[in-house]
Amino acid sequence: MEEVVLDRKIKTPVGQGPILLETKKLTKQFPMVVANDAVDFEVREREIHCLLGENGAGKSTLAESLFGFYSPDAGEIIWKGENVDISSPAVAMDLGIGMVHQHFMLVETHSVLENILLGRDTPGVLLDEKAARARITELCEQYNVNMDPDSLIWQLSVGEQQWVEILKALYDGVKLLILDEPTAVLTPRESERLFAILKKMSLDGLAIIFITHKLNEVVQVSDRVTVLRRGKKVDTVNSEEVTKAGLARMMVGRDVVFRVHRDEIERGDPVLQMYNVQACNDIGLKCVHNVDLSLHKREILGVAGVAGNGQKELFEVLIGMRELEGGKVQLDSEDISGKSVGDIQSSGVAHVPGDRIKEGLVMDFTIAENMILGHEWSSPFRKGIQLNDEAIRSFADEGLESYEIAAPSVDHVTGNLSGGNLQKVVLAREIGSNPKVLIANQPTRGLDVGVIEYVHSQFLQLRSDGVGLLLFSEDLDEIMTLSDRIAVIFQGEILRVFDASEAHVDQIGLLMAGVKEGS
Amino acid sequence: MLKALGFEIVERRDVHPVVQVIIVFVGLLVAFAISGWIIRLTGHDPVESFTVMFKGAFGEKRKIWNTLLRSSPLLLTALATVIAFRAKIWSIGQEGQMFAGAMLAYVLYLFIGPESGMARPLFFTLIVLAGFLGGALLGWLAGWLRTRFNVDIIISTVLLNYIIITFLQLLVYDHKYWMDPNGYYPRSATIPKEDWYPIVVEGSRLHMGFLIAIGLAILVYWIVKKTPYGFDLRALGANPVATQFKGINVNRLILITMFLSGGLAGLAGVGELFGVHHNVNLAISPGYGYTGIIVAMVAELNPLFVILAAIFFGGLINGSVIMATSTGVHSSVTFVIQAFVLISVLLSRALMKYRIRRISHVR
Amino acid sequence: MLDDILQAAVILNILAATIRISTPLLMGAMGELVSERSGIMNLGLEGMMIFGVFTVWLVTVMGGTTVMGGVVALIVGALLGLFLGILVIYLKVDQTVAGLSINLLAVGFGEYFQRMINAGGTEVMVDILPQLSIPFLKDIPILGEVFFQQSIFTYIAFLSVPMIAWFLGRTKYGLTIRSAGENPRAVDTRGINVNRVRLIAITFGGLMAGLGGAFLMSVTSRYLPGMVAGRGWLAIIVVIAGNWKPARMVIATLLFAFLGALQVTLTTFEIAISYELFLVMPYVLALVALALSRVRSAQPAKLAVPYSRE
Repeated sequence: MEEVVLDRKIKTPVGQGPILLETKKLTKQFPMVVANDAVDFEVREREIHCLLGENGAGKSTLAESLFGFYSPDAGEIIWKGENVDISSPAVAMDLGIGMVHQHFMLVETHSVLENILLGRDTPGVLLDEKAARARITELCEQYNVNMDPDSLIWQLSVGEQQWVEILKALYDGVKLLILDEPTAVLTPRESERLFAILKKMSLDGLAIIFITHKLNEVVQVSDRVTVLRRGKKVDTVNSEEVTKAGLARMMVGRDVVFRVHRDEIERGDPVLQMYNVQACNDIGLKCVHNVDLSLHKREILGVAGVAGNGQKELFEVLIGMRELEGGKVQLDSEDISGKSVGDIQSSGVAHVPGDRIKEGLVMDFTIAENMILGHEWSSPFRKGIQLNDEAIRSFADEGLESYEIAAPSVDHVTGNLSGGNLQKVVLAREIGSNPKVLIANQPTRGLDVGVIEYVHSQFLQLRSDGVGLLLFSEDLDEIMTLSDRIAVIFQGEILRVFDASEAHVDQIGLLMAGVKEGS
Repeated sequence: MLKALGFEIVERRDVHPVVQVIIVFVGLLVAFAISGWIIRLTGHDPVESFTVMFKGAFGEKRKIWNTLLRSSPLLLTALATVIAFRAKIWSIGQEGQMFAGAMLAYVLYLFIGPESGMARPLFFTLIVLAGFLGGALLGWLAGWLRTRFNVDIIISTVLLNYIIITFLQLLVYDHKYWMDPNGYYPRSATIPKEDWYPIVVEGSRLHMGFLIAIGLAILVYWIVKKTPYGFDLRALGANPVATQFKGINVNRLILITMFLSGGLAGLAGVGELFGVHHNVNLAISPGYGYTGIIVAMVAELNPLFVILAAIFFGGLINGSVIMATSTGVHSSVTFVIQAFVLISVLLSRALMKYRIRRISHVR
Repeated sequence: MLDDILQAAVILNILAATIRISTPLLMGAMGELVSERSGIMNLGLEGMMIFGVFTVWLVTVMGGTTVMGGVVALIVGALLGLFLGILVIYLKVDQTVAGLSINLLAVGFGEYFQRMINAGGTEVMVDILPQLSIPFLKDIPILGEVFFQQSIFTYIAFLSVPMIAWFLGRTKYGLTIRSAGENPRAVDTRGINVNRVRLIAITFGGLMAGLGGAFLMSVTSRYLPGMVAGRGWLAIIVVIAGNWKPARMVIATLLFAFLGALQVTLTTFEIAISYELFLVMPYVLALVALALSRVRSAQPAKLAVPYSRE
C-alpha cells in the first residue's frame, strides 16, 4: 500500500450537510446490562463522525443495531427521513449501510476475491471472477491501494485484511460506512493510510461512522464526535472545537468518585517478578514484548490499558495457561517460568479470569462445587479418596455469608446467579485459597456499582493482609481507586510505571490511548 | 416464519425432574407405537407380539432371573458409557472392549489351564481382573491416540472395534489358535463347568456377573458424585475451558477415563464368556456395546437409573427372543425398537429444551 | 506361487477390483466432503449406507428393478441426511448420538426385515446391475479393462470428484458452503442463512451415502446384513486423510480399495497371510493415517461446531 499525504485544508463544511441517518431514543438491553440507553444520534452526509467512549460504553452495540445484527428494544432509526426497521444485515446492506467489524468477518483460508464474492447476488451459477476482479482493481486504484485479488487472507497484514473488509462494503456501493475500532489492530503507519482513504471516501460522497476510544484519531480524522459513556450519550461536538483533554474528561467522567478509601501502607518485598516476558497470541504473532514488572507484597499494581493491547495474553502467561515465549517469571525466589496451571496455583498464585462464565466457573455445578474448583484434590476438601462434603460445605457456607452471595444455599446451581454474585463466588474461591499473589483480569467488567465497590474493598483488604495484587483493567476509575502503582500497557509494551501519587487521570487516559508524552 | 406471527423460540433453563421422567415414558410409548406399526407391516399383530414379549421378560420367576441375567452386560457397558459421556468423551468402543476383555481373560485362562484346581476366590479374582484389563487397555489405546495424535475418539473407537473383532475372528476360525479342535464351529473349546462363574440364584442361570454389575453401578455412582476424580470428570464435560484454567490436567483425565470405561466394558465381556457362553465365539456381544449406549442415554447418564434401564432393555431383548419362537416375529425387532427408543428420547429431550413464547420486546 | 500372482491377468484383476471397490468409499467421501466443508460431520454415514443397501433389496422384494432401487435409495439417503441435519443443526442434539441413532436404526431395519421377509422360505435375490462397458474405450489394452468396464455407479462416483471439486471451487453456492464451515459468522453477516446452507449440505451427504450403499447391492445378488462392514466409516476417514481435498481423497480411497482388492483376489491363492489380516488392514491403515495426518491444514475451522448468533 502506498503513502498518501493528508491534506487538512480540504475539509467538508462541518455539521452542515443533510442528515442521512438518525436514531431517536435507541435502547438495547442484554441480560445483565443496558448497553444503549435512549441514545439520540445523527450522521450527516459526507461527514466523518466519530463515536467515542471507553470499553463498555455502548459504541459497538449501537453500530450493530444500525447494521441489523441486533434488534433494538426501543427507539427509532430514521434513514433519509424515513423510519426503517433494520432487521438483518441484508436489509442494512440494501439501504446502503456497510460495516467493517473489529473482528474481521473474513474467511482466512480463502482469497481476497472469494471473500468479496461471498454472498453476492450475481446472475448465474458461476462465480463472476472477471467482473469482480475488474471492480476490485478499479476501487483499489481509486484509493491508491496495491492489492492482489488472489492473495489469501492469512497471508495479508492486518491493515491489508482491513482493506478487504472495506472493499466488501465499497463494492456494494454503500452510502454509510461504519468502522468499529478500525485502528485497534493497526500500526501507526497503517492508521495514517487508513485515514487518508477515509478522507477521500468522504470527499467522494460517503458518510462514515468511526468508532474509537483513541483521542488522537478523533482530532485527526473526524468532523464531529459523539461521546458515549455507560450506555448514554454525553454530547456531540465539532471536532475542531474540542481538545483531547476535554474529550478525555467526557469519556471518563468528571466525577472519579473514590468510593473506597485506600490507606497509605508501606509495601513489602517483591513477590512476583517478570523479567523480559514475551508471549504470542492465538495466531502466533508476538503480542507481549519485553515486559519487566515487579509486584510487591502489600501493594496493588494496576495495569491500565485498552482491550487488545496484550493484557489478556500476559495474564494467561502468568497463570500458566499460555506458553512463555521468552523471559522469566519468579514467585518469591522460585522460578515459575513455564510451569503448569496447577503448579502455579499450588505455589500460591490465585486468579480472577476475564470471562467469569467461560473461564472461571462451571455453570452446571452448584455454588459449593465452584467454590472448590481446582482444589478438589487438596485437603481439607479431600479426605482419602473421597470428597470431604462437610469441609466443602462449611467452606462454601462461610464464603456465601462473608461475601454476601445472594443465593438460597450453596447447593443452588450456579447458572442462576447474577453477574455480581458469580464474581463473588470466584472471589470467595480465589481469596479463600490464601494466596500470596492475586492476579485479576477485568474483575469488575459488566458489574454494577454496588458490587464493584464490594470487590474493591475485598482487594484492599487483601492488600492490607500482605498479598500482592496485579490488576489488569480497562476501567480507569478502578485503576485510580485501587492502585498504589500504575503501569500502562499499550501494544504489548509497558509504557510507564508510576506511583499513584504522581498520576493524573487525563495523563493516564492519554497513555492508554497511545499518546506518548509531549505529543 | 414464526416471527411474523409474533412468536419466538426461547431456551428453557430448568426441566423439572418429574417432567424428565415423563419425557422418557412418552419416548418409550412413541417408540413402541412405531415399532408396532412395523411389526404390522411384516404381517403380524403388534399387540399380541408385545404381550408375549412382556410376559417372556417378566411373566414368571424364571423369566425374571433370565432378564436380570441379560441385563448385566448391558448394565456394564452402560456404565462404561456413563463415565465417558459425562466428560463428553464420545467413546463408542464398548463393543470392542467387551471382546477385548473376554479375550484377555481367556488368554489368562489358557495360561492357568482348564480344571486347574486353583482356589476359586483367587481364580475368579484373576479372571475378572484380566477381563477388566483387556477392555481397559483397548480403551486406553483410543485415549492415547487422542491425547498424543489428536485422533477423534469417535473414529478411533469404531475402528478399534472392527480391528479387535476381526482379530477374534482369526483366533476362532483357524484350528491353529483357539478353535475347538473337535469342532466345526468358529468357537473355542467349551470351558469345563467348575471354571464357570458361580450361580447366585439356585436353579437359575443368574451368575455372579450380575452382582458385580450392580456393585459397580453403585461404585460408579459413588465415584462420579463423591470423589475428586468424579468431580474433574463432570467439570470436563460441563466446561473444558474453566477446567483447564483451574489447573486440571485434561489429557491425563482423558486417559484415565478411557481406561476405566474400557475396563467396565471388558467386565461385560468376561462375564458373558465365563457366565453365559462358556466358550469364546463371535456372538459374545450381539451389539451389547451399542445397546449399552442407548441404556445410558435413556437413563440420562445417571448410574443408578441405569440399573432400571438395563433391566428394561434386558427384558426387551429376552422378550424378543421368546416372542420370536411363539409368534414368528424375529428377535432382531429388538434392534428396531431400541433404535426408535433412542431417537424418541433424543427428540423429546431436545424439544423440551425449547418453548414457544410471544415476542416481548417493543418496536 | 508368486509367479502365479504376478500374471498379467491377476494384476489386471486386482486393479479393476480396486476401481470397483473404490466406488462406495468415494461416493460416501465426496458427499461427506460437501457436508464437512459446510461444518457438519455426518457420523451416521455408515447407517445411511446400510439404508442404501437395504432399500435396493427391499425395492426388489416389492417387485422393482435394481435401477429403481437405486433411485429410491438416493431419496432415502437424502431424507436421512435431512433428518440428521434437523437433529444436529436445529435441535442441537449431540452429533455423536444423533449419528449413532441412525446407525442403530439402519442395523435394526437391515436385519429385521431381512429375517422376516426371507422367513417365507425363498430368499429374494437382487439382479446384479450389468457392467457398463464404454465403447471404444473398453478396448484400450490394460486401461480399458481396468477403467472402462465398470458399473455405472463407478463412473458416477469418479465423475463426482471433478464435478464436486468444480462446484465447491467455482460456483457461488460452493463458495457459500465452504465459507459456512470456516467462518459462519462471516456468512451470516452477508445475509445468508447459515443453518439452511448446512442442512442442504448434509442432505446431499446423505444422498451420496445412500447411493454408495445402492452400489454395493447392485454388484452382489445376495443381501446380507452387515454387508457394509465399515465402509461408511472409511469414507469419513478418507476425507480426513485426504486433507479435505478431492484429489488427495481419491488417492486415499484407492489405497484403501487396493487393500480390499488384494484381499478379494488373493484369497483364492494359498498364501501364508491369513484372510483376517487382509480384512483388518484397511482399518489399521486408517488408524495410522489419522495418527500421522498432523497436516490437517485444510480442516474446516468450524467443523462440528454448532452456530448461533450470540
